[in-house]
Parts: sequence; C-alpha cells; structure tokens
Amino acid sequence: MKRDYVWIGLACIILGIFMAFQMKFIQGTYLDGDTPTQKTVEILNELASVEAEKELLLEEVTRLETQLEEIKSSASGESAIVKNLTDELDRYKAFSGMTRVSGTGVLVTIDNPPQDVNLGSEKNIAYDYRLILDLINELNSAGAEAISINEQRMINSTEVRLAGNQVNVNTIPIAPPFVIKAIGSAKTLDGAINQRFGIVQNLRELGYYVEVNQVEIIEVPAFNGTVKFNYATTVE
Amino acid sequence: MLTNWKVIWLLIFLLGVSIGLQIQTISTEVKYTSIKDMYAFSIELESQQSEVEQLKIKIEDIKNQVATYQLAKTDERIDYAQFLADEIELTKEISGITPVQGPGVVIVITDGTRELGEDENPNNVLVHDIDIRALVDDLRNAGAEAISINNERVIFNKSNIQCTGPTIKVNDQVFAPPYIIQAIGDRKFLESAINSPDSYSESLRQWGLFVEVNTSVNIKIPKYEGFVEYLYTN
Repeated sequence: MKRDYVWIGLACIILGIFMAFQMKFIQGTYLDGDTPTQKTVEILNELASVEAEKELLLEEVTRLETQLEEIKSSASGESAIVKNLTDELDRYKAFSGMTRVSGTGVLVTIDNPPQDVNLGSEKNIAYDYRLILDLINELNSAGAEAISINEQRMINSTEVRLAGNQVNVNTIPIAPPFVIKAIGSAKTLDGAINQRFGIVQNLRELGYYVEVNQVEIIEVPAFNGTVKFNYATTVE
Repeated sequence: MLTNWKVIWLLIFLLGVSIGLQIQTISTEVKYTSIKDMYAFSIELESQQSEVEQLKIKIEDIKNQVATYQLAKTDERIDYAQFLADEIELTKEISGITPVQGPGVVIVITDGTRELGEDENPNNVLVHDIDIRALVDDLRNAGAEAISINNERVIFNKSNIQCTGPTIKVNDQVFAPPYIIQAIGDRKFLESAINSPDSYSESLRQWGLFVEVNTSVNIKIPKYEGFVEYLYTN
C-alpha cells in the first residue's frame, strides 16, 4: 500500500514537469509568442500622451516662430540695412540647420529584414550604424544640402551612435525603419548612392531592405534644440 | 445517490468559477503582443520623451529670442542693426564658417608598421575613409564643437570624407597619411572617446594602426572654405 503512494507521487512529479514544459512551449508558439500583458497597454497609453504633448509643443514652437518672424519683418520694413542683415541672418540660420527647409531630393528608407522568431537570427541595422554614416557621407559627396534621419536634422554636432540596441541621433534614440531625407539634385543623389557596388547595394547584400525615391518636394525639419559653444571661440 | 449529487454540485461550482475567471481574463484591458513589439514600443516611447525634452529647451530658447528681439527693437539704446550683425556672427560660428580656437585634442592616426601575417590583406593595417568617419563620429558623440582633419574643417552638412585610392579626400582636398585630427571641446571627454576600451580607435590599435591622442590648451581650427550657397533648397 505504501509503495503505491510512492509511485503515485512519482507519477505526479513527472506529470507536473510535463505540464510545465507544455506551458512553456505554448507560451513560445501560441500567437507567435505573444503574451497578454498589461504593460503594453500602459506603454501605449503613455506613448499616446507623450505624442499629444509633443504636438502641443510643436504648435507652441510654430506660434513663437511666427511671433519672432513678425518682429523681424516689421523691423526690416523700417530700413534697408536691417532688411539686408535679416536676410543674411536667415541664410546662415538655414545653413546651420536651424530652420525648416524644403526642395527637391531623395527619400531613403532602410529597414531590418523580416525576422524569423524561431530562428532568432537578429539582423539589426542599428548594429551596422557605420553604414548609415557611410550613406550620409555619400549623400554629402553628392552635394546634399540638408539631411535628416527620422526627423532629426543633421547638423555639425550630430552623432549617429549605437546605444544599446538602438541608434542615437542628436541624442534622440531612434528605431528602424530609418527614413533619411536629403535635399539636393535628386538625380545626382540617387545615382551616387545607387552606384554599382555602392552603399545601397552594400546594404542590400547584407540583407537590409532599402528603398530610394526621388521626390519633387521634400521637407527637412529644423534642428530641434540649441547649439552653444562652450569651448570654441571665434578667432578674429 | 446522495454522493452523486454532491459530486455534480461540486462540478457545477467549479464550472461557475472557471467561467468567471475566463470572463475576467477576456474583459481586462490586455493586448496580445510579442516581447519584440513591446520592446519596439518602449524605444518609441523613449524617443518621443527625449524629443519632448528637446522641444521644451527649444521653446525656452525661442522665448528668449523673442524677448531679446523685442527689446532690441523697442529699446532706443540698442542698435538693432548691430544686434543683427552679432546674431549673424553667432550663427556663422555654429555653422563652422568662422575660424575658431579653444581647448581640445590632437589625434594622429597613420598606417600600421607591423609585419603582415601570411596572406594577410594589407588593408588591415591601412587607414581608410571609414575609419576617419568613425573617429569623427566618436568625437562628435563626446561633444566636439569643431573638428578638422589635416587643417580642413569638417562640417556635417557639407564635408565629405572620401577614399581616393592611396589618399583620402576631405572637402575635396586630397590628403595622405598621417592624418591629424583636431577637435575642440572638453579635453577629458574627447581624450576618453579615443582611448576608451570600446572606442573605435582602440579597435584600430588592435589591428596594428597607430593612433595617438594628445590634449592641448589651445587649438586653432580653420573655417570651412567651401561653397555655402544653396541651389536646391527653397
């Protein structure tokens, strides 16, 4: 009688192990490993609120910029010298990446290849961020006048940097797909990066998805921050 | 008979409990997401949050500008034209079209002199344009305010660093090794950007290239000499 209990106990342990395995297995494959979680909802809600806040802030920026513009234009109405100076200032502001600009150019989209959950072979463009630097350099060589990555304008201090599993641009973490906008001669830009054995082919051979489109009018955003030199001073 | 009823009641009770649990699971606000998507959402969130931070700083800045412009325009004691000229100088400075000086680092990088292994590709010990680009990126990340390569100013929106066979072209000027990169900024940050164990230059050293960094109290970096007009931008 006592032996029977031992066997039953053993059978229960084995059954328990099986059940644990089964649960684990189901968690891995059921709905592609999707799990119902409260956390996602929290993140999504927070995301929505942050996006709304960003919208408000952008409106505020536009409002203030128009206000500034009004002050400037009313001042330039008063004298020709002031008008010339204002124009010159605007030109340099555009050159330094502080204003939103538009023109003809190209739109480059880079994305990770579709991932196979079961294989677990992660191919992430973030790890190959140096290729993004190469692409930007090629665009610069081809005479790009303004470049942005995922709405982050490239200026003198812009870094493209691997941070954890994502890329930081202007210290803002960005995730694929990377949308790179460049203003310049659309044909030249397109041709330069699509050159045989060029950067686009290079990226595609590595398995990334790359699309290049010539665009009639493309808008490159302003740098959303301020630049101040703490160490460098102009030499007279 | 009596025990049978007991069992049935017990089963009905269990059924009720399980139906209740099921309903609760379905009606709670949960979404089916993979860990991967969740990760993507969290990056997106982080990205948006930092953009919001950036925008707040920008708003402060524009507010200040509006105030100063307003003051400059209304106050008789301030010459508005002079004020504009100063603004132009500042904008030129951050665009990299004025010569600047300040504390910083001087980096010397040149081809390796070690013996090659059997059948080893000589490219392993040569400096390439991609190496220079990665170094410049490392310096920018460390907060460099102005960067030059062999006395040629590097600015992001115009400069290109291109391989041209044995030489490297920077701003359409051709240079051969050694390459001397100068950067103005916090000396400690810049130096550690080049010397830290996970830096790009450290990996170059592993390959046998020569990379050296020295700090300097005063570095002069020339202005960008190229074309600054826009042709395609409206």
